[in-house]
Parts: sequence; C-alpha cells; structure tokens
Amino acid sequence: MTRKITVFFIINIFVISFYAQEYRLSGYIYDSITSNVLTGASIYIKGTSPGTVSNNNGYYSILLKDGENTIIVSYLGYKSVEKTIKTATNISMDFYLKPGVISTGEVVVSTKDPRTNIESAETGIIQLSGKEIERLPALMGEADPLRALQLNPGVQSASEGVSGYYVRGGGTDQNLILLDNATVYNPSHVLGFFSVFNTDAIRSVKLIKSGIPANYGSRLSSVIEITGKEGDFKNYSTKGSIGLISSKISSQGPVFKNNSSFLVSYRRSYIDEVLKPLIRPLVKGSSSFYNYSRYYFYDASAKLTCKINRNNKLSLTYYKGRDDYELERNQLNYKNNLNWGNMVASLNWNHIFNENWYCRNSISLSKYQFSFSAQQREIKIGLFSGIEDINYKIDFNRININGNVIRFGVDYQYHNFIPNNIDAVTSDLNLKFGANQNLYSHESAVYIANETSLTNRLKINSGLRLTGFLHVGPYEEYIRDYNNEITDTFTYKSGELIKPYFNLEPRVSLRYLLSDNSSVKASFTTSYQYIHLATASSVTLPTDIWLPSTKRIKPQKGMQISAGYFINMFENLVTGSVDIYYKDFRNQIELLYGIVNDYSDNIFEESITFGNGQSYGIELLLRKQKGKATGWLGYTLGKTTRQFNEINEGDIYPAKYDRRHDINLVLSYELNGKWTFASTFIYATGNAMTLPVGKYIIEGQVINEYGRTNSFRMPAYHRLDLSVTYLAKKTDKFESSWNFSVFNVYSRSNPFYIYFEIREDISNYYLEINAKQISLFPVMPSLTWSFRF
Amino acid sequence: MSVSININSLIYRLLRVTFFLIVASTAQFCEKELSIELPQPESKIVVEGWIEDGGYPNVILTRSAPYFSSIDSGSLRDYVVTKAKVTIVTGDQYEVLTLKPNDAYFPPYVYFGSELRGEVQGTYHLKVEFEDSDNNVYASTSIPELTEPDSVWFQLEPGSDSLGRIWIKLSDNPGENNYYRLLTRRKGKDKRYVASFKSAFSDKLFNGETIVQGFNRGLSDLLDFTRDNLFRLGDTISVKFCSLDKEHYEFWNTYQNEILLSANPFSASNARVRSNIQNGLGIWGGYAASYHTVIAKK
Repeated sequence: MTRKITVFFIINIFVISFYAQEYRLSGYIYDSITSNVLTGASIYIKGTSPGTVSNNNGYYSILLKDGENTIIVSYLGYKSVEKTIKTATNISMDFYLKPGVISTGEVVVSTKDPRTNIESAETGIIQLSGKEIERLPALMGEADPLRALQLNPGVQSASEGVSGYYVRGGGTDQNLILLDNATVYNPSHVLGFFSVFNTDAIRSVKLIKSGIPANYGSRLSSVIEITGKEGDFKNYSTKGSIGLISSKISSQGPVFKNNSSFLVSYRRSYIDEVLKPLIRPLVKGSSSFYNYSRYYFYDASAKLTCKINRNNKLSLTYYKGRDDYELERNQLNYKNNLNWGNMVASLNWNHIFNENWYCRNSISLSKYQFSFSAQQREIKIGLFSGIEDINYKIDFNRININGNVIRFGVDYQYHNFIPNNIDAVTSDLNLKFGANQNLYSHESAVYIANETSLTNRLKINSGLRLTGFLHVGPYEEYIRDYNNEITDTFTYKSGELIKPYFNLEPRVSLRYLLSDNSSVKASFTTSYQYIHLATASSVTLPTDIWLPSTKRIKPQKGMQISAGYFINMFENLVTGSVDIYYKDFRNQIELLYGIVNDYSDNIFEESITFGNGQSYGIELLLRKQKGKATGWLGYTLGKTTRQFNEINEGDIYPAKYDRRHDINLVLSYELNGKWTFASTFIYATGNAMTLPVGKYIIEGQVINEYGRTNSFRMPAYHRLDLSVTYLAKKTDKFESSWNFSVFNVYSRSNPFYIYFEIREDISNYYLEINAKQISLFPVMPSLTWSFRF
Repeated sequence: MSVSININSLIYRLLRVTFFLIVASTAQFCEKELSIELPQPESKIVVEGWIEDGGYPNVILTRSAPYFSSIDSGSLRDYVVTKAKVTIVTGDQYEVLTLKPNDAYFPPYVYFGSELRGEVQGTYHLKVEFEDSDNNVYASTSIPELTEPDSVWFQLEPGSDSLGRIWIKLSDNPGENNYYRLLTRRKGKDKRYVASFKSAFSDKLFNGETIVQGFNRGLSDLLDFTRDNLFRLGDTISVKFCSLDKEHYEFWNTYQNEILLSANPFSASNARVRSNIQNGLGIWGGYAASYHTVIAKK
C-alpha cells in the first residue's frame, strides 16, 4: 500500500502539463502604514478562480493570461486594490494596502481570507491573528494564543488551567511548536496556566492538524507555526498593559527607516508581590502556605528585521522565559525549589533568486531545562532534565511556468537530551544515580513537495519526506539476560553510531471545487517522530521528560486519513466545514511506575512500556469573520484509545484524554468604536482516569485494587467567560483601553485532579476513605489597562 | 551502591513531602467532597501466607472490600475469612491448617500448621476451599537456598547521638539471581517482625559482589514522614534476613511501590501489585531465613 502511494507521489511530483503562453506577475504585498509584509493576502485575476495567496514573507507569484488582466489584491481588514495590467513579459509589482477604517463597521479580526477555506488544498488549518486572540475573554487579563487555539475543534486542552494540548487524539509531545522556525519544547508558564507566548510579540499563529505538508516533520499530530511580529519600519511606538497578576511592555520601530526594524517585549508576573496580600484574607489557612512560597515567571523576546535589498531579508529572533517556584516549611525543615524555562534563538534569511525561485534559510538554537530540588534536614535531592537542539533548515520554492509549485529542502537537527539527572546529598555523601547519562542524536530530513492544479477544480499537494535519525555515543548500553538481569555493559565512544533509523513519509492532500463557494478536500499523511515525552503524571507538568529514540525506544509512527466538506455562505461572510479523521499511532510510550521508580535498580529508559493507539472523530465548524458580530461554533465528536501489552491486561482502554464531546462557542460583538463585548463557552467530556475500586490489607497496610485502566470519568468540564473592552482614547499619538474579564462566570468547580483522603488506624480497627476534588479557578474577575503611544 | 537503597527511601520521603505540600497549597483554592460511583467489584479472597525453612505454614485469609467502605471493629468481621479449609501440599505429604487467634497479626486470626515444616528446595502448594468451590484459591511457592549476611550491626546516623540504622554486609552468590527481604523486631516494642522501608531487593546491580547496606526501621505507616524511622540506642533488635524466589520478591517489590506511589495524585497508576494467588489476591511465599540479634549501642 505504502509503496504504491509512494510511486504515485513520485509520478505526481514530476508531472508535466502544457499550457498556453503565459506570463508571471510577482512581488510583495505590504501594509502601507508600517511597511510590514502581509501574509495570506489574496491575489486573483478578475473573472477567474482560484487565485493565490502571499506567503509568510508577503511574497506572491501569479500567472497572467495573454492580453489584459485585472488584478485584485485583497486582505481582510484592508481596502482591496484593483489594477489592470497588460504585458508580454514576466513582471514584478508590489502592492501597498491601506488598513480598513473601523467606522465603516467592517470589523475584521482574522488574517485568514475566507476564500482560502474552500480554495486551499490544506485540510486542517487554524489561523489566528494577535488581534483575534486579544478579543477573547482572558484568564486573569492575559490573552493567550494557545488557549485561543484550544477553542477550535480537534484541539483540546489537557485539563483545567493547562496549556499542554492534544490534537485529534495525539499526545502533548506530538505537537511541533515553532517560533520563527525554532522549536519550543515547553509552551507553558505556571504549571500550564499561561502559554509562554506574549500576544504583543506575535503576528499570527497557525495550526495544522491534518495534511501536514512535507516541509514539516518530526511530530505526528500537529504543527503550530508562530510568527513573531516585525517591528514597524516607519514609526516608533510602545505598547503595554497592566493587569492584576502580570504586566507587559513592548516597543518597536525602525533601526534605519524603511529597511530595518526592531521589536522588543517583556512580560513579568507579580503573583508573589501583588496577589499574595490580596488573596491572603480570602483563603483559609493561607498563612501556612503563602508565607513560605514564592512564584514568578517572566519572558522576553526580541526581533530584528533587516531588508537588505529587494531580494534579501534577514531576521533575528530571540526568546527567553523562566518560571521559578519556591516553597519553605519551617516546622518541617523543608525547602523546595522548582524552575524551568525555554530559550530559543533563530536567524532567518529569505532570498529571492528571480520571480520563480526563492529560498528560506534558518539556523536556530532551542533549549529547555527543568530542575527540582528539595531539602529536608540534612538530606537534599536534585532532579534535572532538559534538551538542547541546534537546527538548520533550507527550503526552496520554485514556481513552474505551468503553475505547479515545487518545494524541496533539507532539515537537520542535533539533539542533546538530559533525561533525568538525579543528585542526592546527605550530610557526608554526594551520590549520582545510574540514569544520568545524556543521550545524543542527529535528526535530518530531505523532502520534496509539489502543488499542482490538474484542472481548475482539482488541486493536488503531494510530498515525500525522507527522515533519518541517528542515536550516537557516548552511551552505555546494558546487556540483559532473559530474566531482564544485567549481564554486561557496552560502552560507545563519543560520536559513535549506536542505532540509525531511516523512514519514508509519503503525504498527499487534494481539493476539488464543487462550486464557487464549496469544495471537498482529503488528505493522507504518514509521519515518524523520533523523540518521546515520558509523562509521569495525570496532568502535564514540567517534570515530563523528553527522550530520543534509542535501540530500545523505537520511533513513534503515525498515519492520518482526513476528509472534509467546506462551504462559504452569504458571500464569504460565513464559512463552514465538516471534517472527519482517522489516526493510527505506533510505538507510543508509557511509564510503568511513574517518575519516582526505583532509582537503584532501574535505568530510567527501562521503566518504559510500549503500545499503540487509535483515534477517530468528526469536527464541525461554523465561523463568521466579518461584521459587528464575529465568532465561531465548533463541535468535535471523537474517540481515542490505547493498547499496551503491559497495561490493562493488554486490552484496549480509553486514552486519558479521550474526549467524546467538545463544544466551543466564541462570540464577540463590537457595539461601536468604543465598546466591544466577547464571550466564550466551553463544554468537554471529563478526562478518563484509573481509580481504585477495592482495598485489602497485607502486613497491616492497606493496598488498592485498581479498576480497569481509565475506566472512570471525571465530571464534565464546562465554563463561561465574558469580557468587555472599552476604548477610552484613540488618537494617532495615544491609545488607551480597559478590559474587564470574568473567567468562569458561574463559578463551576471543574476538576483539576481527584485524590483520596485516607484516615486510618488499623490497629484500632478504623479506616475511612473520602474522595476529594481539587478545582483551581472559581469565578475570577480581572481588569487590565492597555496603552499605546 | 552500598547506600543507594537508603537514599531511595529518603528520596521517596522528600517527594512525598513535596506532593503533600503541593496538594496542601492548591487545595486552598477550591476543594470539595466528591461522591464517586464506582463499580462494585467482586469481593476476592486475599491470602497473606508464608512458610519458612524449618517453620510451620501460616495463612491469614481476608476478603477485599469496596474502596469507599469504612472499616471499623464491627464491619471488620465481614472481611475476615474463618470458614475455609486450608491445605498445604508438598510432594506426597499434606496438612490441613487450623485457625487460631494471634493478636500479633491483623486481622488477629491465623491458619496455623503443626506437622509439616518448610525445607530448603521444597515446593509448597496452597489450597483454600470453600463451600462454594467457585471461590477456591490456589498458589505455589518454593524455598530457595539461604544466603546469610556476613555480618549485621547497628550504627549511629552521622550527626546523631541516639538514632541509627541496621547495617548488613552481604556476599551475593555469583551466577544466579537472588532475591532478599529484611525485617526487624524490637524487643518489647514490636509484636511481630516489621518490614523495613524498601524491604525487598534483588541482586540486579550487585550480582556476585559484596555490598554493605543500611536499613531503616519499618514503620506501621510507611507514609508518615513526621515520625522518625530509625532505631534508638538501647533497642534490642532481632533482624530477620530472608532469601525468597522471584515471584515472591515481585509481590513485595510491587507492594512497596504501590504503598509509596498510590497516595500521589499526580502519579500514573499503571503499576499493579502482582500476586501468585490464582482466583485471589495477595501472596503465598516461602522464605529461607536467618536471625541475628543486635543491641543498639555506640
């Protein structure tokens, strides 16, 4: 099956079609005020369909018919431009679009042209702009791109206040998060309550959940591409907000007018300084907790952009964020410290050879570190894990004379994993444990993809990605007998090859236009993922550990088939879609005993067990992007299962994030230039979990007898949020607005986790067990003041 | 290696405290009682039985209880199994055990033998029969060769002038997999032998080597981190050092993990306590044991 499909792709990629004499028009599309490029603007020739859209750099290229052509360039939120061109050669032309004026009532928040809903061959794409995200009601006043994505069908949050997310039944590790081409490993602050991305520094967020193009790889379930905002090339401005728990500020402007710009932003929480005294009187027994704990996070980012000339553009992105938590209990002589953070840096160079050829180069660094330490009396332990990557990518785009777009490139990464480094110090001993060896690997890919319009109605995107992964030394391998006992140790030198993996990943997606306003699309994707996240807990915590594929840990393998019907109604005012999907996952991992297994006789890698998974479902989406009232309604009906030989007696069981129903309703209404109202409502089936069903006593200790794996459901999750924004002042020089948000309006106690309180005194024949549910956020109002000058 | 098992116990203690405090701190946000409808599991027969080299068989029988049921001295009676026929078979010998009260154990009723004694290399089959033969349970165990520690002693903890641990020096047999368990009993303080913290261990990482290993005192509540788990100067301690077979060891190893991990709400509960009981829960295990008396002094 796979071979036949592969052959088909190869034929398709090199398909040659013949067309009449045509010329090419290419160039950039800019915002006329800031000179920043516009991504996803649509360009088409009047009277024909379909056209094209500008790429991430604002670059477009379109074929003209012989004779006179009327070009229309449109972009949501901007005034369309119409121009008539007569040519007998290839020409280049840039367009400058003026932002639409708000008083017309044409409020547009999306960067995505509604026409792409039906015309693009990509199937499962969600794109949100910074503006769209900012309009949603925010948790404690912090607008959050990842939370906004979770309001879309097929994307679900892990649990209350957790920004780890699952896409169509895939694990949290199966999402590739790219910030200007650099990988971000842990996207969350405050144990997941906020994402690490500050909306003021973000231009757009794009999520691909099916039909992932061949230029993306290394994750099975989704790609989130976050494009950092470029600084204004003409004017200086500063923007910021002051909220209850955090504040942020960003500045942008030209370095050299019209050809280079900067944008810097900084955000810091002050839960410790501000929230503590406010909350102290409200919570019972607060003195025991708040007096001894301290928590803060910050993130900082900077982007420098330089247009060297018409054909070369350089940009440098830097991000650093950190969370720090400290807890002290004097009466127990106990002290603990938990901190984690990401650092990414990337240098991107876009080069245009001519109107048919361009390429993008990117070199980046990513670092994620987690550390935990705890001390009680003279004993101190430390736990440290992390990952460091170096990545180089080059991506070529060639637009053929017949309208085909060929894309090919190379992607290389060097990984250094620090899986779980444990240190323990007692008064006179300093010990390291067996599991502390770093794991090194090379990951690389070459790919080719082709986009062909076979007829005016049928467009095919096909691609092939060849991936390789090499686990290299230094490494110590333990040889075991049939009893799983260590009989020998084999030592590999630095750089020595231990285990290579090579795989071919064919992908295809197609679109067939049924009419001017409806289409059907289908996609088939195979992919391999060479890194794994060992999750030790029922919630996503920074303690989760990244592991590469090794001799023992095989790469994850995924396959997805997806098909959908797409329709635009009322002259592109309302877009709708119905999508179905089926996914198959191989070589999934689980930890048998959690993170704190027996350090003395277990190598960490070996407490892992392997299995498979499946998920399928249907997603419905109705969305209105224009007008005073905008918003969407999404519904997902899905099922996700797992099968591991060593779990649940080998029987299939629901994944912990198996979710039958997921409903999201997002509405926003702009009353006039001053007042905007917004609301979101979420309903989701509760997470699956394993609970003890019985108990018995051995040697005087109560032992649990567990029920079937994940056979119990937590109560359903639902929540309503409301917000109102008042634009207090707006002039060319100064803007000021107030946002009042209420999170969890009817104060639903959504479960964060469930635990059991056991009161026992076995020798006096007494035992009582009660289930307790912990919820994090009751109704939470917040007020934020934002400004710009 | 020599101290790793003790360090483990300390790590467990610290992580317990951490999770306890995280729970305690988040709990103040919003906590409520939850009534959970759990499927009522079939009540199973639970065996806690052992036979030692040179000793008579002992079997305690109970039933498993629904998770949320409260146990008090009244309802306890429902979970103690007193009307079973318990038979031990080895080779062509067998003995039917008799029920006797013994308040050193919980519950305080033990099926006890008086003829058949355990022998090294022997295999012992357990049969527990009921009126309704569907409830019958079966198990088998063996008694391996005894490995005795070279020496056993008490040593004060660094920095302490009154508290210390029991230490052993052990020469492991090369060429075979060995499984050990250590229990202690303080004269005049403990009614029976109590398992030390992480009492069961294997020679996985020290096969054929000689190790020096310290052990904390076992606690009736292993999770109570506020109480000290050390021995005091002046204690007279009887140390029971056992060799056991693989299945028997796996029960105690998973049992220890379950006790340590089950109360942690963040941990994944993929682990299950293993059992060698057919149609039931618990353990029927053979020991080869040596006894050592140690007086805690400086």
